[in-house]
Amino acid sequence: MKAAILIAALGSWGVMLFFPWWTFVLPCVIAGVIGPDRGFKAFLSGFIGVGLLWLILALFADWQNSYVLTSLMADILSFDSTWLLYLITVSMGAIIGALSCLTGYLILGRTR
Amino acid sequence: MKWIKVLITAVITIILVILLNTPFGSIPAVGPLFNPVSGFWQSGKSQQAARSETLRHPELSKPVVVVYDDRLVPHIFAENDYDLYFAQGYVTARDRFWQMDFQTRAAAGRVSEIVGEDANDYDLYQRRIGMVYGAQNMLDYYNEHPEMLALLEAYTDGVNRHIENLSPRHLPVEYKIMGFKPEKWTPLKSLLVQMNMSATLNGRTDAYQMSNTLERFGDAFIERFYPAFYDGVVPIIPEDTEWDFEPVDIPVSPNAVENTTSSVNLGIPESNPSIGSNSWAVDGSRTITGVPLLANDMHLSMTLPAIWYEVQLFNNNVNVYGVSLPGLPGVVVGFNEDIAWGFTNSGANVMDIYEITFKDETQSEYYHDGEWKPVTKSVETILVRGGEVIADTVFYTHHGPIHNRVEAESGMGRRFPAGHAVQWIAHKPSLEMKTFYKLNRAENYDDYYESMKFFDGPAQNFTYADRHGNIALWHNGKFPVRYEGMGDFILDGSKPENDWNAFIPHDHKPHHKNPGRGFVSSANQHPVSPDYPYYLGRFFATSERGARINEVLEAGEQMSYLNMMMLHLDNINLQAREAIPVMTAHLDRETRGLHEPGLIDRLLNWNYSMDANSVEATLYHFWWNNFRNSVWNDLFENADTPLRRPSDTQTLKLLVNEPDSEFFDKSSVGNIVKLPQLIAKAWNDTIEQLREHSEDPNDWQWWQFNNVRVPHIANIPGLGRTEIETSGTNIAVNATRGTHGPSWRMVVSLENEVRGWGVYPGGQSGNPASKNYDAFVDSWANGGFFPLHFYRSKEEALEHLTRGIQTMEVTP
Repeated sequence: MKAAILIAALGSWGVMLFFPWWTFVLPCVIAGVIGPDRGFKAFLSGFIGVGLLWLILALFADWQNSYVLTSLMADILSFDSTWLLYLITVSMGAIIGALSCLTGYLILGRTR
Repeated sequence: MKWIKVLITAVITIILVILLNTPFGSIPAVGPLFNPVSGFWQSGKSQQAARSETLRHPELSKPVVVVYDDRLVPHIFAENDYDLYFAQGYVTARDRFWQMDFQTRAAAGRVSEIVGEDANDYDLYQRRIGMVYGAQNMLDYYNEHPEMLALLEAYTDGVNRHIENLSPRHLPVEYKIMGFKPEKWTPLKSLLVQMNMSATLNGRTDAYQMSNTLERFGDAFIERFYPAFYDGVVPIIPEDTEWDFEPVDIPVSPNAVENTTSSVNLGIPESNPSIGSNSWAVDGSRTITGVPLLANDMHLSMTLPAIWYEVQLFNNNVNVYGVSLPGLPGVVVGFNEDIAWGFTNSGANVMDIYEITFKDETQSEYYHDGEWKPVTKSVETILVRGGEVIADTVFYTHHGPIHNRVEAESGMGRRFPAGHAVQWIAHKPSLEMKTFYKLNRAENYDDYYESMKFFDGPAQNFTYADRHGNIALWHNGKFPVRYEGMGDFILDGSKPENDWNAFIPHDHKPHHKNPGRGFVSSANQHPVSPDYPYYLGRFFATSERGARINEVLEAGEQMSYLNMMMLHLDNINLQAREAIPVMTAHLDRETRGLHEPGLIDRLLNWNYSMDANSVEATLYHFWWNNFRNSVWNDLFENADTPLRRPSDTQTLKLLVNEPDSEFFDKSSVGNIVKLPQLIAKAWNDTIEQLREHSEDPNDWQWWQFNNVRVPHIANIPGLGRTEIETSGTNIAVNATRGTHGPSWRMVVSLENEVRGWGVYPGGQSGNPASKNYDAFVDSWANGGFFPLHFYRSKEEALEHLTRGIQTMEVTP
């Protein structure tokens, strides 16, 4: 599972630097194919791998910019708090990552 | 079984991705915007301090050194013109490219490409008013002047070098929010920036309102309330100036104006009295240093990012500091080592409307000078995001484009009735770049004089001062030779007398140099007195600001740059100073005591200064508006055609000179309502309105009603500034009102080592996440100025950088 998490996280980061945002689906599928031995583990690997990566990237970008842009975005979207931005971002990555990873796992069908 | 599971999870994933990748109406797609690798998270900016950098690009013949001071103003040191303007384009784009891209697409009528069909109406308006047509005409003319085209190309190369270096992940956040991509810059886009300026400054006409008003109220009313000259006009060029030239032939008016628009109910907005400016120059005999001082503030729409970008440009043939328009090479308003110059807008007629007689329904031939002439046609293609392409055919006469071939039912098209052609100076080929090129390099009066010959529009008052002790002012632009009143009303497009057959020769334009009174000044008012031989128009700004500036300068001796700053920030309302004693005198004892007995006394003891925290300013503003509306509403409200109301200045003259005028008599059977009753009612209404705001009169502070704000340029909420606590009003020298105001305040002292101070309500960076995005707004609102760092050499700039550049704000 650790390997799957790592592949999902680093793989998504790698492709997203050069390709459209949604291409992180592919490394997640691959992570699901080669990693976990249970469906829920595959799901969790994608969820944690991508979710954590996106959270760290978002926090780092926010910190680098002295938290200015997030508060502006919150104003634009009439959000009370910038945490909603994090929630949207992280849950988007985590859920799609989890589903992709699960799909990869199911392709091989390593069910007991 | 296995494949069904795969299918289900795969399909759910794909659907989720597609949903997150799709924009819904004005809501942008969530995926591209929110992901942390290429979404909005990456559009931030690490906060930047003063620094220097060396640009080395293959296009440059030598490396260019750019020193950014602590306010992020770039001081560009290059070796030649190409390198200089390349670097200007490059650094301006780096700070402001989204603004340049968006504004020029808007100018060209291409907003539908970005936001969809909601912008169709706006785009059609821009196409039909000839924004691209005018820019293209200019570009054709630049092609005949390769030395000027070269400047545009150098700038363009610099902008495009920046675009090529742009990483899609780090695009400005507005691209991500609005969901579009940067587009390459071209010389045509630079000229569209100039068209934008023309549209802002003189892309309007009062001809419809005036024709309708004439038809409704008659000649006598027009002469009485809309005179070109009247008592109290303080012309820019003083009355005692002699005109030492023989005027060219003036055309003869073909016949009385025929109004044909009376049945048309148009959606023409009232002309905006807040578009104006102040500029003056003071002779050394009135200054403490013995050398001239020059001041300028241009009143324009205030936006974030701001209309201006501060810059210093230096190479082997120029050293100039001032503000530039993002998208145009050079400095527009500023100073160099020898001279300083400023601009105020001219209200002269440079957009005329012609009624066209067509031969038949096809509208392919029109009548002019005794014969039928063919229209030319041009197809405008509008791409619409998420919609079908619109192909719009615009018909052109020799006057200009026909805005509407059929009556527009709604939207901006209603500003023009069907079958009318627009002749606009901005459509004509011209070479304004040459004026700025020469002005940036001018060393003396002769250079300044030469530079102005290339400036056709938008017509401006050019204020001038130099280190040799001269001050001057020219009312400059390309002005058609008109018969009296020509262009004030709709013109008959078939009569050749109404064409622009001749233009006022350059040396005949209103001007003066080193006048005896020791200063020159302009505030958009009438440039000349009635003895000037040419007709320019009748709707120049009213004289309040101009009169106040002259009053202060005439009283001033031994003035310093601080006096100039104080005059920029002067909030005295001359209209209030004249109106309040008269209005209170008509107020009977009973009404005075009715509410808060002290309020009238406060008004009488007021200094007429529209200060941010003044309650009197608010009282006067509402009282006057209520009174003026009660005088004119019954004549002008609910009219089925757009009309023009008499100005406040004319209303005030009526109040002072003719208290028994029939226009104040609103009596009906058994109910006498005359001037005292109108004034009393206006007062009572004022108190009621303000009590709705707050019961406590101390809460009626003017700034809350003047509502000064600086919105984002595409009106994205949260990216602008609101509730700015500042002083002023549109007829005070400090002309703040809503989203309009002094867009750049500048004072220059023409000492041997020229010194300058300036401020604008914005910031150098166009990135909303940068502290430099709105860094100057608070200083501007508080009346602060920044000393401008004008370096004589690259070495001086770099040396200052090593010592640490710290700009200390000056507040007079």
